[in-house]
Amino acid sequence: MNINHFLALGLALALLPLQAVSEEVKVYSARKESLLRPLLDRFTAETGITVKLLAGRSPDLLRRLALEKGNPVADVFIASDAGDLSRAAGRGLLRAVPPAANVEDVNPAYRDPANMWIGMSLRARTLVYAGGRVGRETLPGDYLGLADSEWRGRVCVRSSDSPYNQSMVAALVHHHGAAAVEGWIGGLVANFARAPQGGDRDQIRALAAGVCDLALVNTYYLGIMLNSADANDAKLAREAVALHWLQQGAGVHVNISGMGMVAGSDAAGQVAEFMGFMLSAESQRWFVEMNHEYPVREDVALSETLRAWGEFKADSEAISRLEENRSAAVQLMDRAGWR
Amino acid sequence: MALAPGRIAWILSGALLSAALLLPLVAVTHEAFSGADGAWQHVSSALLGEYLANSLWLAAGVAALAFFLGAPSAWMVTMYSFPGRRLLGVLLVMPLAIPAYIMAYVYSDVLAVTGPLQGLLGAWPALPNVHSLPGAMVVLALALYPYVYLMCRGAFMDQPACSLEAARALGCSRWQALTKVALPMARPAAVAALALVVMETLADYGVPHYYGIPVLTTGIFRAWGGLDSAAVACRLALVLLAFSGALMAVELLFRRRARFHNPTDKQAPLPVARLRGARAAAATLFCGMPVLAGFVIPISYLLYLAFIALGKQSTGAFASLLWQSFWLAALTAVIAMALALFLQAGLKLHGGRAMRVLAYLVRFGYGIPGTVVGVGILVGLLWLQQGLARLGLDVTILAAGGLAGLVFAYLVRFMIMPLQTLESGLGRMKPSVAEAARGMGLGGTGLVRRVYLPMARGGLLTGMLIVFVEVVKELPATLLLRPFDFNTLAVRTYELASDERLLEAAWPALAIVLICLVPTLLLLPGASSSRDDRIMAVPGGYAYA
Repeated sequence: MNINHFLALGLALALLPLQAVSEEVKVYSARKESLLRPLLDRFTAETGITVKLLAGRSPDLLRRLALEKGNPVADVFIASDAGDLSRAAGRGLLRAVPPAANVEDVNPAYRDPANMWIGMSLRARTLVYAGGRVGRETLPGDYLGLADSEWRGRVCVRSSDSPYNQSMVAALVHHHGAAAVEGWIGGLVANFARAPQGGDRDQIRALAAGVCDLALVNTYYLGIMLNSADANDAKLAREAVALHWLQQGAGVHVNISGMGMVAGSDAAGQVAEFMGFMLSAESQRWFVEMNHEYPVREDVALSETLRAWGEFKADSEAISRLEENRSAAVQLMDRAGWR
Repeated sequence: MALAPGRIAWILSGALLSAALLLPLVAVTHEAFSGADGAWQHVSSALLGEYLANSLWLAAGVAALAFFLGAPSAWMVTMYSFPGRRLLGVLLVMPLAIPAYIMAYVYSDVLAVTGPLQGLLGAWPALPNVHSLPGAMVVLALALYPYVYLMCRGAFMDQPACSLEAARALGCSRWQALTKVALPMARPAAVAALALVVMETLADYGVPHYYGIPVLTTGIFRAWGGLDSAAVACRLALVLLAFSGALMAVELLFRRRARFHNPTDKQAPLPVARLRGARAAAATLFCGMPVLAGFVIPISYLLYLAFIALGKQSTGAFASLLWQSFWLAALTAVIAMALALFLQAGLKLHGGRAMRVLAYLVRFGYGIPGTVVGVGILVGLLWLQQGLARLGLDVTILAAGGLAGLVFAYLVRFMIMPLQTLESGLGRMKPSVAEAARGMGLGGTGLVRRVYLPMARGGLLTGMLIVFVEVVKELPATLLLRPFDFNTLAVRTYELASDERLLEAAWPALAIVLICLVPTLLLLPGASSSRDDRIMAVPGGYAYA
């Protein structure tokens, strides 16, 4: 054995641990880091696979993905809107979801029909109302009813800049067509209690303070407020605000936060482990407990907060059609004066 | 004139540097005219008018308010003595350390219908709604008036006491001395400050976005995300750029004029009049008002939130945020200053009209919102990548470069600052100084090292401090271009606050303010011991120059 053999052996030994350490999965996420990081840490602890994370805004991340198309950098793209996942898939930025554990347990409604992405958690956008001032029986059964003149000056909702509103209107366009929705937006805008402003929690606070009687919000914001460390928020959410499912017709507008595998990534093994982990019952439970989102699996128990709101009929059909209607939705909101 | 090798080297490297810094601008322009299809039709017919009107109203309102808060207080602090004058003189500059978007979140919370203040007041009276055009004006004015204050104060302090004395001797009252002598002399500084305030307002995204006011910047992001049209976003950015370009021209014009306002080098102390009774109280009140609203209230509220959130913050993660923000800003500041020195020295030594124009154009990056600069860089890098691929080099430049792309974006946006502070230092140097030095046999690098550098010393420090503060506060380009697992305080604050978790955002927000406080205080006229520094730190120049 000459010196070269020793060197080669030493080199091989030195590289061995490196190989093990370099098992990693790189994630671009439009989902906020704080709503992801604890799970990622748990994933690393369980599998030994490190996660590199870049959290940002989805248009930014989509742009980066497009730029890197030839030499992809990320392995997984996480979005907080099905439309963004469809957009990525439509541009050839994603490849088929690899066969992973737990995938079959996911409600098929929350998987891309073409298998380019898969849901991770579910968000519902519906009505909250001032229980003390509005009778439950007078509430509209669906979104279209919010434009009725009896609600003139009584509705709070955030700006149409919000992707939540853009996707909600995109779903309505899918079901009812652009012309009907444009008229509906006009009626809704006439019913605004104030110019759109703030976030979803601000709408709930305004409702509690008597600025408006109805508000459109994502339910998990109400869940967060109900369980908030801020005593004031928790109290007003508990006492002044009630939730109502706009489930007649197509059903309650739901959207997913979900994930897809980046086209050209060669880490299929790690990605499969990652996705399987995110879809595990424990992770699903974490989304429920920590952020009051709904699981994408039917077999995961709901939290007390979610159980209290009762069951609802979700509009799962529109989820894969959000992207194709979003640009139209934005233009309709612009034209009808939803700022 | 024959071209010396030094001159050729300068022209080549200077042109290369300027071209690199202008690349994002070119990329944005190119992107703007590549296939905007129906989206532009929609935006220009349905929205552009409203965007423009709101942007301009906002800018006009902020400029007026910032002038009202900044200029009279600068005059009072400089010319009169009243209770709290010394302290207020320092505190008046402090709001500069608070990014406008943090101020916006704080006031939204404090004045909310369910907020602490309304709780104290009960059902009556109803607090004003900050989520409105006037609300945004006030918040931005509170964040930006220190520019007016700083630059007016510098101009007032620099005014030769003799011209005021002459005015008084000729029978002017104090008021007349102010309106007929001091104000006209401070006008260039005030106009330059207001131009800056307007530019900052036009390029601000956080405040109008959160307060629900559709302006050019929010329109850019809406086009980028909702309409999925980079072309429309870039076109709107060009509209914005046209405004900042015009403002920079105005500012340049006034800065040129400012050069004629220095009749003498002699500095007699300014006569300070003591105010008594009601007038003294009024002065204290007037100067105290912006300090209270722009600094004391936001800081107190953040401290209160931070106290509630105490213990929920993981200290390890927090320390790493702090460290990453700090070194990234420090690194950028040093690089920016080195490049600015190179450009300025080259201009001084070798001149050249073309280079002067390029060095001027480089400043336009400041007028482009960070997101658009980021997009410009991405597009520019894509071109570069495609070029390299043709040469057989297959790399993903952004990923390979780590933080380089981000630092580059900061340079594009903030090169204006060191360029201006250096210029204001060197601009005050009489040409005869350099001539004398040349006469004594100094040339080239010797001239730079022994004459220009010492002359520009104050501008050097000021320029780096300003870049440092701006980088710590910068958000959109950082969000877009940072590498994996890299976060700054601004990114974390935004992420939490935009998800309506102001409570958890309190610590990083507070840290931004604290990191920015020290450099902000150093910008104060008279803050540094050397008279040179003070002169460089404020007068007549642009931003802070």
